[in-house]
Amino acid sequence: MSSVVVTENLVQRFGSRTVLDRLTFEVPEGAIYAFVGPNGAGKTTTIKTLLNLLHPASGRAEVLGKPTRRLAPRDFTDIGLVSESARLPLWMTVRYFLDYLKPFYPRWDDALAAQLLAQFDLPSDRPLKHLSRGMRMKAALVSVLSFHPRLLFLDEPFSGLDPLVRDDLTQGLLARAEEMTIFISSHDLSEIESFSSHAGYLEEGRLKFSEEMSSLVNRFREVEVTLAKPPALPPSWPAAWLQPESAASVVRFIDSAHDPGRTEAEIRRVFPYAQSIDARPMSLRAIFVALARTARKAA
Amino acid sequence: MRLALHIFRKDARCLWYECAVVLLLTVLFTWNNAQPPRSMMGTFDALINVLAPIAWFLLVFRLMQADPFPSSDHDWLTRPIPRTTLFSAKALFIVTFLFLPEALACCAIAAAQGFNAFAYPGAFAWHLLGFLAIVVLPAAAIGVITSSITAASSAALLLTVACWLTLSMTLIRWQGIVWFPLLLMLAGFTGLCSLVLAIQFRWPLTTLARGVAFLAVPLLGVIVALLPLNVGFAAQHLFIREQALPTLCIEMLRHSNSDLLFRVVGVPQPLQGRIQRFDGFVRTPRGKSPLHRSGTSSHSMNSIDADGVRHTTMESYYSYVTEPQSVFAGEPLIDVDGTVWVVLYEPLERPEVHALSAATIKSPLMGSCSIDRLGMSERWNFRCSSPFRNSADVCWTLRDRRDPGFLQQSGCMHGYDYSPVHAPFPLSVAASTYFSFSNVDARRLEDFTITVQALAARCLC
Repeated sequence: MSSVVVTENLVQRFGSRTVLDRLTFEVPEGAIYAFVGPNGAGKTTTIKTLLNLLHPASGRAEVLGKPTRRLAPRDFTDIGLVSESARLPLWMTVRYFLDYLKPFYPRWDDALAAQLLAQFDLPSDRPLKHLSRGMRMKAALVSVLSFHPRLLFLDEPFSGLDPLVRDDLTQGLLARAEEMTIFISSHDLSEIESFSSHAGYLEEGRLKFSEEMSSLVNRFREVEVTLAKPPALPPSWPAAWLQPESAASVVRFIDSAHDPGRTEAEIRRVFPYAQSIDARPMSLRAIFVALARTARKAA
Repeated sequence: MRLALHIFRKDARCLWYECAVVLLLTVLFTWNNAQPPRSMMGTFDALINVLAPIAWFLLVFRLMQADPFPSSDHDWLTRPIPRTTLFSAKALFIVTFLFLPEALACCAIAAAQGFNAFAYPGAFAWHLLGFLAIVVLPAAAIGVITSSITAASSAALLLTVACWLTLSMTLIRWQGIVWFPLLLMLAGFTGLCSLVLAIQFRWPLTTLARGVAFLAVPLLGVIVALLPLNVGFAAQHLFIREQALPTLCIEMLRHSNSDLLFRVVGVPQPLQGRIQRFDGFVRTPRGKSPLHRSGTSSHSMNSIDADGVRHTTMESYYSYVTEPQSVFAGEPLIDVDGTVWVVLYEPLERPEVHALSAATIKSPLMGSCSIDRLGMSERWNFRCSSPFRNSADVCWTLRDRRDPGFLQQSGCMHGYDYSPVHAPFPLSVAASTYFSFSNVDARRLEDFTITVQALAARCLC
């Protein structure tokens, strides 16, 4: 499977501040890539850099096989962006907005636009400035889905929206997810973990991991070890075990490199009095919170 | 082109209110300038003459900021809108809502003053190019490097102040050939603005474009300020018709202890001449001292040589010491070294004779002229709106109808500059030619005739 987004040691600086620090990741074609991280981690900057809205300080970035610095307007017939921070032409009505965009896209689908307008219950004669934030996001999504993009960037699309609107957007998106690659950034993971195929975690401009969701979920486990006597946490604690806690004769930690056989052997080496070991799968949200807390503690 | 029209329609729909205001102000501007010339500028004149350019600038700002470049958030930046198409659409908008109305306004004003704009293609083109260089391009360049009207207006104000300072420091030095540094600055300014637009529409690189805009203007001023005067004079010489140049003789007399009298002899009529400036110094036993014009005006005298050719002799006074005058008084002069610049004027058409009256006089030569009295005094102003002409290169004579051989009063108005194009400064369509005369005998205006003769400055040599 070829990759539609490739970065290698991508660095972005604002003045002397390094905002993206040697980012290296790939997004395979057809994937739904969840790009997660806390606020200020650099997710929006990454998307803007990938779309040639910001120029990288160094490193390589390619989108649809083309270096981002060489992305020309015509390349955007294949690329769409829906961003919470996007500034739409608010004076236009929804209908005029779509009519204005239509001639620029050779694959514009009028029927799909009409269907999405109805599905999202968008008032086509109302100016965008008179729409709520959620309605504007829906209008923006209609404006990109209607031209059948090969690659769709979504930057915090659900931020601050009520659950009903989130569901509408998610359904609208998933119904057409097969025909495109989706790169979705969010700090709110509960909405995207159910349908993401890949995930990358960004923290303070550094990419902590970027891998398939199944591998990620397999790799992280919330481990609870019951001991025969109250534990004493050993001085040499494995680096992959995060957030250790102990209470009475129970030790809990998060294993970020879980391998059933190897992890159990390691636990028995560290805790010779271990009576039982319980390793539970984690949600993406729980993984994200654990990583964020670990980073905060280290800082 | 189809997409350019599509974007044009979008901009027109978005900015219809601004367009309506600009068109209304252009109509008012035209109507106001088409009126017979008046002595006093009223509040309405001032308001229209200020509001119209402001509205032009704001419209161009709004047009460029409808699809702003200095942003990474605007939706249009991730749409497949070709930049060349966008540029064409903006250019089309400017032509439709600014350039065409301005050209029509220009023609209407000229027609109202009795002129046909197309009979003066050079001046008409100069006016429109001036509009492009002074209004459209700077406003567009500012518009593409700013993202709000406040920022654009501040930048325009800053740029205006920088240009005004540069010009006011520069132009005194270039007296007589002001058109040359002005043309250089306009050309440089046009080039810079075009470069800024090219950077933004091609790449865009806002930081670079902003750097070019705000560093290059003072740099351009410094270049023009440091440019040797000889370059300007050499440029002026390019426009001299060599075969028609007369041989002039320059005499220099010591008029008083501190004044030199320069006399230029042999200007063949009907040419007229004027000593424009002297760049040089006098040498006395105490050393060199620069010369300064003493402030007295030039005189002209007519003479006829042995072959019967009528000549004009011009005189100008220059003082040659400054401090302390008493020390130098009576000192012997060793020599004077320098260059005298003489302007020759050529009559343009046959002189026109008009009977004075209180009504507006339509003159094919001068345009629309009117006479009004200065307060309760017996001084009268004769004022003409003369589109497409250098306003001030005119000679006039006032005669009594009943005794035409007797010259009542006469005078010449000479411009400050000798531009090869006979056109007023861009934006001032109806340049006003104005002179005053006194009617000491308090006679009826109808008793006088006025003869006007337009002149063209032919060379500065």
